[in-house]
Amino acid sequence: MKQKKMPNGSKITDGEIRKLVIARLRSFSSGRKISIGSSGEFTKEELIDRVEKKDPIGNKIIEIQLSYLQSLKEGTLLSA
Amino acid sequence: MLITRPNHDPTTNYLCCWSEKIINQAGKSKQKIIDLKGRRAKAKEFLSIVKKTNPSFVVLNGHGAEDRITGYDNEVLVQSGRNESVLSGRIIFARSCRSAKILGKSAVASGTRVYIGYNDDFIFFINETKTTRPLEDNTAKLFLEPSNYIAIALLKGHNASEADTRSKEMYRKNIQKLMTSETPKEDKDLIAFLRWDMINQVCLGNGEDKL
Repeated sequence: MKQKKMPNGSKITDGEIRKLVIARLRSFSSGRKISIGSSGEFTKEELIDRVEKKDPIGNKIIEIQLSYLQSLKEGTLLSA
Repeated sequence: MLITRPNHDPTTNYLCCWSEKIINQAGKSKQKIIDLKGRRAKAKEFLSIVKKTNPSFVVLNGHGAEDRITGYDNEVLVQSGRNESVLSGRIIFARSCRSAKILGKSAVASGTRVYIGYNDDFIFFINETKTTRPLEDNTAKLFLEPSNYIAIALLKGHNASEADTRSKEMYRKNIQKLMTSETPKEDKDLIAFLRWDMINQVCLGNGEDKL
């Protein structure tokens, strides 16, 4: 099972990361869609499905969420 | 200013509608406007008009990839290694996924003065009750207004680097607004995606250049 090293030195598996991202997606507003370029527009249910399937859209959402959580941890949320 | 704004799917339709605010500013700034809207945003017309009018400022809306920007029906308008020289000598704002990564760099290497665009996917949220009236969509506004401001700041006379900075400042303000305790939980979920667009926005070329 693949593991990622977190900033505090602890390790987290890919499966745990997916569960974390899916939990965050479940709290999204139902009345919205996300536009991801030429890939199209997705509801939160479709995003959850993509994350579960580990397809490129799902992996992109995981990347965005992890990048955000990392920036909170490092205090770089507003840096660009 | 030459602007392309295809509208063949919901995403491009939003970009097309929100680009009206850029066109309004171009009018106020006394810029001549060449508007390739909808089906006019095709390669043949785009390339012919660039050649004929030699615009100093080009705004490209549309889907893209690392090496290309497309127009109506995803027809390729500009592609690295093929015709990036068409952007040479101009200031470019490309609201298109990932095109800064390869096309932006190769365009600047072949003489484009400035290329402001995105290194990764440009993402925004749509309120499903507003899809027929995109300009009334306050969720999309959080993303598209800061992005629009790149072109608006350039049209107001700021240089490219300032336009990029001011746009990012608008993203920061929107993020900070969403972080307050009065903001509903579901709106706070937008923060990760606003940050994503902000950190992937880049200004390549000579940042001191202005219109």
